[in-house]
Amino acid sequence: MTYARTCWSGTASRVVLFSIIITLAMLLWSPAGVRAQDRPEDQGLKQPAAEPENQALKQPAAEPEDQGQKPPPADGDQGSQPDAAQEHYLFGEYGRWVQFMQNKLLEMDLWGSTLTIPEGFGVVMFGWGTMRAFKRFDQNRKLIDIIPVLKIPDPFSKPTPIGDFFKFDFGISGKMAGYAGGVMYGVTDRLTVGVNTMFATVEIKMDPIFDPGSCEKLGVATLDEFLTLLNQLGRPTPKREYKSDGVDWGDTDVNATYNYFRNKWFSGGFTGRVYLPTAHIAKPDQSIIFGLGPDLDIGTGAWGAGFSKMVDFRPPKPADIVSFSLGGEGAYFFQTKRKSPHFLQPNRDVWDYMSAQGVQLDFFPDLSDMDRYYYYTPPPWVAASAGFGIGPVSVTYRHGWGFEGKYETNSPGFKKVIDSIGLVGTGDDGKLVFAAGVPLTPLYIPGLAQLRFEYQTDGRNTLVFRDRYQIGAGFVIPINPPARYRMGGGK
Amino acid sequence: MKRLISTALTLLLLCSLTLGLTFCMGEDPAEPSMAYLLRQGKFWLTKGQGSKAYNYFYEALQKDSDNIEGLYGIVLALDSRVFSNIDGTIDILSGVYVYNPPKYECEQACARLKECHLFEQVWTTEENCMSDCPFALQPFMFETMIDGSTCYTIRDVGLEWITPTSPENCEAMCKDLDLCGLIQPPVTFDVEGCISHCPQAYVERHSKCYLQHLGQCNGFDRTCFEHVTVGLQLLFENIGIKFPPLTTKYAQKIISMPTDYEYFLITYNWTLAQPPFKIQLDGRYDHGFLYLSQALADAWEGLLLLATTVQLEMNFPSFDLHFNYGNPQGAEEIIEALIGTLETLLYDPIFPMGFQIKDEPFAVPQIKEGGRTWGRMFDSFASLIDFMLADHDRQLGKAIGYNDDNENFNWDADETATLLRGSTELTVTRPQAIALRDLSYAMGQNLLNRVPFPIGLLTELLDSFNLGDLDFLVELVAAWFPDGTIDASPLFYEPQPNSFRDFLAMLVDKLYIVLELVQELGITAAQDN
Repeated sequence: MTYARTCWSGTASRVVLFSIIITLAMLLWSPAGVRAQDRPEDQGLKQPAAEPENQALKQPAAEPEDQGQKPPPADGDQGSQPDAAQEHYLFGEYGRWVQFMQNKLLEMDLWGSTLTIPEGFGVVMFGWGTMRAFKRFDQNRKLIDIIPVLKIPDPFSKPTPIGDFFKFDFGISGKMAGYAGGVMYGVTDRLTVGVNTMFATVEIKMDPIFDPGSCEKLGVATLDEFLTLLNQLGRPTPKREYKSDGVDWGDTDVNATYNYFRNKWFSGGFTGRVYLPTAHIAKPDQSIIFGLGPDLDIGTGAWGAGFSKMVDFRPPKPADIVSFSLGGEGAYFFQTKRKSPHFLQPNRDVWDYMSAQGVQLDFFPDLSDMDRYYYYTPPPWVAASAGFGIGPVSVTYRHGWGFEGKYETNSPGFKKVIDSIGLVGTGDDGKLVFAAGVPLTPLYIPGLAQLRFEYQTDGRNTLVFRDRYQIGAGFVIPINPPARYRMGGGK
Repeated sequence: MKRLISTALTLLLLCSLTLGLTFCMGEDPAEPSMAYLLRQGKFWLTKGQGSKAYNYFYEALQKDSDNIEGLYGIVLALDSRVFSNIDGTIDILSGVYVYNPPKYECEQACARLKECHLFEQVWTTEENCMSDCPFALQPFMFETMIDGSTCYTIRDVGLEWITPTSPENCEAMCKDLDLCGLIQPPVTFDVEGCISHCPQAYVERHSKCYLQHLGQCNGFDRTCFEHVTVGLQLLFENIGIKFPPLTTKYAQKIISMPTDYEYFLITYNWTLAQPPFKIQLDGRYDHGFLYLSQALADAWEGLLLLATTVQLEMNFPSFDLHFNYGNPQGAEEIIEALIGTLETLLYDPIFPMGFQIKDEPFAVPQIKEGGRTWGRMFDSFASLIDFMLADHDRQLGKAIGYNDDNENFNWDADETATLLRGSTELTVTRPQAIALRDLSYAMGQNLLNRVPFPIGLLTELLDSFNLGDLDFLVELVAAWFPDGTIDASPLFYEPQPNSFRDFLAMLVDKLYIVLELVQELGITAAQDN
């Protein structure tokens, strides 16, 4: 579970980056873009790469140190200027500006995942998504229920248990509405800084299904009777429902991306992140991790640091519509202090009695003496990805590995309980990510809507989500662009 | 056109955005139909899984509380639950799973016992070894005899849970208990009584553990003696005691309904795993069966009401040491074992004051309620017989009914009724049934309204059964009640802290008398009837 959330958090920031790429790339495909291409006066400006000799001629001396890298567009490039005299724009000056921005970005030949935002521009992102927790990959990569049904072997049918003492299905169901947001700003043409976060409204129910086995010999047949037995063994009655009060805040990260190298065929960049402990952490006495209720951590809720390295490359024209990306990323989180759940004092007599009956009570260690707090280090994770894009559509395979989180507590049984529930632990997962974007410029909005679909292909000890669609919108906002990016600007 | 398509697509996407994100987890369970619930409940009843069946019928009745099929089903499921609970209780009182070895393993074990001179320790002889195998041993104990373990290991590890404590160790232990102030007659045995009862009270496992800590006075040390019955008592108190009353609730609802509906099950038994016990009760169910269900539930509830008001932390493992389950025993041995067990439970210095009523405000009212519940049990049983006597329905295929040999739909004087079918059978004639009914009504009245009843009701019933060599019991019982009446109600209505202890002590005295008579009459064979 923790690992799955980590992936979501990592994915959120990837969405931002990817959206920018698609936003910018899609401008090439927008009707407005087509219109710009149709204009003979823009042709040469739009595709300088098509005429390498021209490019070499254009700025050989301007940035000789770049040695083949594509230079930033020249300040005050007059070719981007819409011709007000020849065309009438919807929304007047605003429409003209949108057209200008579109042309300007087209000139910059922006491609690849290592892209950064032009200096002085900001991007505001909003994201929505759907996903359905479908199953869970177990230790052996087999699909099992989200929370494994808790089974205790029948102590009465020996030597080989035939049935179960009982089976307990946590019966988790519910829904979560999530809203991702982010802002980014181009400090320079090569350096972008940003903040991403998410919020969620959560409504999750736990309707346990108790399937009695030979526990009926102890008189236990119904869920209520089982919960009474749980109380005797030191476990409080689990809460049945969790509903967020307003919205629950998720993970937030502050990031910086540096595009250290870029030319027509290759681009490399890296991103550093600092995770802020903003995420809603499940109330300890309702936490699903401890089997005490349906409340979930919305994120890692700890300070952390992340790093990712991406490289992009593309073939020469006319195949440059295709681009390839490779990447590696990882995150490490620092120890955080959390409130311990309250467990009951187990009744030693009942414990002894059941133990004498041969019932396996590993799941019920005495946790009543836990300190008020325990210390948790969320699991670090790494991931590698590879993908390709064709115009507005891209496909990426990403495989992530989550390592073990650490629980430090005075109670040795605590970890055992968490392990038994099985929602945390080392694991990995692979998924295919399909993405496509649609520009909003036809609506005279300087942005793009993006649709993503993810399909989890494989995994170990991780949740499996299905119907995982994400829709996002990103808007380009000029905050403090230099003169070269301004309409009518110049040197 | 291109622009139009693009605009339309964009608008479509924007519309989608307004729907927001939905993260769904799990699936909402489908609502099961009434027919499904009833079918599943019936299925699990026939499989002997009363608890599973109970949950299905319970859910069905949540949909329709008057569903007659659901009502019958839940009553039968509750009966199964009661039997399962009884089974689990016997498990803890009588021991645990006994290994079931193949013949060749028994041969190996017997050879090993001979080599190690350990026949006595497993309560057998060389001649009876094969028939006594596996000597009531659990798998891990039995294993020591066939896995090449040394004689020392077999004796001191494999058999320590069944080997009576040696007289020497008993003496050391009882004297130490005395020094620790735990020997306090008449509440406990005196030192001599402790030494003489010790071999059948403590297995070597217990005494060896205790003797390792001589002088430390750790009689209550959980590591040496099993303190498990209090846990059982707590489960009774919190769980077990709460479901038997539901039988009456649902049964009464059916009885009050104007219907002659009969439920049917192709297979249905009341079973116990240990000792193996099965009563076949498949067939058609009508109101008569509901009285039987109520009697069963009341019997169990009454027992639990009483069991949760007394000190139950006592030496139940001594059951195993007193009763040789492996071999059929004669009347004398059975009575001796019963006396020994009761004395150990009453006077054990490790677990003193067994059966003393708890000094809690709920205890006295609960004991009274326990007596009344048993009173209702007798009433229900009497109602069952009344129902059968007046039943003019076809009897063939009924779960419980009389044997209508001439098929005139009437219980004639020469016809019998098989009240119990299965591993134990009980067939009564019509006059016996009437005597049984009268006694049951009388006992019900005694416990519900404190009306004493004449001893004749009991002795006549005993007389009607052929007790064989034990016929003397009829006169003996009559002699114990010189005023000619029986009144059991004071035990429940005017309980004193030691009422149950005193009652059991009196029972032990009576058993000594019976034992003496049995010995005098030379009755040795186990009596079947």
